[in-house]
Amino acid sequence: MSESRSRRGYRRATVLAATAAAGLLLTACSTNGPSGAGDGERTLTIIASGSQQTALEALIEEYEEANPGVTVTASFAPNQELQTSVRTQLAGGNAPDIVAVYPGNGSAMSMAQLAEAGMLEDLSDQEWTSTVPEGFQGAFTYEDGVYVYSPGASVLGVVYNTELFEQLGLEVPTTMSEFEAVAEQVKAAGVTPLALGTNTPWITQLIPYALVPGMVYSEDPDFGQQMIDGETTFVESGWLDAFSTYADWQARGFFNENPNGTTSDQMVQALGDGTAAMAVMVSATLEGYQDVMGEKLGYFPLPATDDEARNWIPGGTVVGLGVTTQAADPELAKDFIAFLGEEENIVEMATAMNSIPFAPSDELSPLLTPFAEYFDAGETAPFPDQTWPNAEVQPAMFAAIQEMLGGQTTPEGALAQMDEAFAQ
Amino acid sequence: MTSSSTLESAAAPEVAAAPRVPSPRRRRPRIHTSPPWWFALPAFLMFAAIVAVPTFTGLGVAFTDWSGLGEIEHIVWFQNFIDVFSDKQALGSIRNTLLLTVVIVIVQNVIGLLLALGVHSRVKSRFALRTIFFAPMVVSAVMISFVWKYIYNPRPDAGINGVLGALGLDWLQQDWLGDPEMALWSIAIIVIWQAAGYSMVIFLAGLTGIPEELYEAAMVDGATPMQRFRHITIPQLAPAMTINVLLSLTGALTLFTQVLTTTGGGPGYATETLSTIIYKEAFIYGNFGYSAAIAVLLTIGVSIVAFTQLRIMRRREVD
Repeated sequence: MSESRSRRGYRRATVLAATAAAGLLLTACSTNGPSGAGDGERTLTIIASGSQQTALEALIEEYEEANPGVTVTASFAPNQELQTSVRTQLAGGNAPDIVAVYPGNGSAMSMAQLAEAGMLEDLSDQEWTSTVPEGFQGAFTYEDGVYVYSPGASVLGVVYNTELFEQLGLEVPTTMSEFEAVAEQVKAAGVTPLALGTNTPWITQLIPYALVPGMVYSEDPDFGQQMIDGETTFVESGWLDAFSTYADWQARGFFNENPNGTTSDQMVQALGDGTAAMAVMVSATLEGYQDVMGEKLGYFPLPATDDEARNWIPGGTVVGLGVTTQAADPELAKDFIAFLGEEENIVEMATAMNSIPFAPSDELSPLLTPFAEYFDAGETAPFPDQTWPNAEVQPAMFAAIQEMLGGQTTPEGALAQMDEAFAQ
Repeated sequence: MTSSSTLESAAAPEVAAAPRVPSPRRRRPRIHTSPPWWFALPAFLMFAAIVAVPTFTGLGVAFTDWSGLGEIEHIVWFQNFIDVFSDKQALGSIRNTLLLTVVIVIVQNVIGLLLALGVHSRVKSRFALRTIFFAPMVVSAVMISFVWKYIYNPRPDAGINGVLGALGLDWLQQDWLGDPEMALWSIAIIVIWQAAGYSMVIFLAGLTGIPEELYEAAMVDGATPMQRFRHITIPQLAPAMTINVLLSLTGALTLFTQVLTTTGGGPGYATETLSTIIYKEAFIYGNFGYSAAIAVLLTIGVSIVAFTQLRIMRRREVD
């Protein structure tokens, strides 16, 4: 009896000792070994956006193979969760080494907001930073540092049903008048020209974001800075043309009934079952349309004006990654980012995210080919929110557009609400 | 001898209400023992760490303009609380929250009571029905809301509109979540649909506890079914009513999930509630201080309403 008890006690003591030893070992591992990957066990933790999953999982595997002893643990979360849980982790000082970061400014998890709070490591000495096209550099830099890595830009264009276009004898439009004529013809054929599901807030912004590069930025590439300097406002600028066009299209019956009650899923569904012919959509989400439309899926840039030279396209730097100042092993984290910044990895990651890579590439998704020439010519404007000074303008815009589509406000009224949020 | 007689007389009213064989426990002499106070220590520490400390930290944050990241830099004292009363969104959300609360508390409890009365009868399928009515409660509110988003598809050939169309009730078809006049009520329907079964269960427990004798006596006296319901069922259900109103009241005042998943507060700000504003101010706009201030106001408001309601309804129970 007493013997068995003492044996059990002994065993418990061993387990305790072993656990303690393991704990010590782990601490030793995470603090030691700052010199290059390869000696000893090193771990890296990442929390990334769901849209980065496919690309990152493949690249992590490659990285682990090339660096024996390194373990990379990545988890993926939808955008909303990144806003809540990761931000809370950052505030609490227990964030992963690498986190998803939105380039530019304008949201609570954006590069500028996090860099301002001292949450991100400067990456400006990495090689890939010099390959970012000039028009997009603003989204990467805060003061003089580079705080986010992103492989490329997603574009905004018009998803369309190629089969239906063929049946109706329609051509891909290259001017605004042509586009509106196409929409009228589709409507006359009894099909909804443009599916619109503004019950999902971020859908509201797609049409104006697709129009302002041509209506505002091609004339005034510095518009973003002028807004910050207080030289102009939304309501005094070409934004009014964009919002008026939006309201006009609704009045002309270009959208499905009740866009505010329709969700983004129902938009995809409408394209899939052929009740709608087109939708203004961001390239990063084309996969969903590909699933329901298959071969019928086509994609073209939305011509914002009748002057083809003015018709720039919108390109938004896709969600990227940043190294947190809380990283247990910042050297390793930076090394991983440098690895992602190698040319072929930029291309791989951008392609997997349906984006145009910030590195030369031969194999572009055929859907994006019509957009690439704009990049080469520098005829692109970043998504406008990437230069907005606070996190309130974008939600204010979502609500204002819903109110405009619901008939509760005018284009001027909607833009005034945005100006008010901008001034805060 | 004397002691046993006082015991009996004290127990008399209770016996009249529910004649039961006196349990042997009652005869045992009462020993007043309480467990040592430190038995509560683990629970107290957990409560302190998980509830009390964060709550008071949050209270502190309400007096700052903290962005949620980095150090707290400025103490703004009562500015956040003052700002709430000039914030159109916050004021609109108070209005929406109160409207939702009134509708949800009344309709949910009326439906819950009717369901309880229905399944308390001798209907053959009453056990199956009880399960069916309660079933929505065991599914997460997020899932329920996603399903309802499909039901609320505004197309005339889909979801609830499709059913209405097939029944020839086209004039009832709605832009359920997109019409700013309708969206708030569409959300109330989801909440009531899910929670009415829960109210039913509590009412059902109350109904089961009403002694048959009361009804029998009333029937002998010639009371009509309506009179029996009015003078026996309703007063006897008062405790169940108190609980149900309290639960639906606090639930509706802090309504969040169903709003965020179906409309996100939109269209515009038409369905914004206090809870969605608190969430957005903190996590979307990065105004943790202001968000905490609204949360403090909400906590105080809910406490006052719940406390008043309890006081009033408890008093009625005694009568």
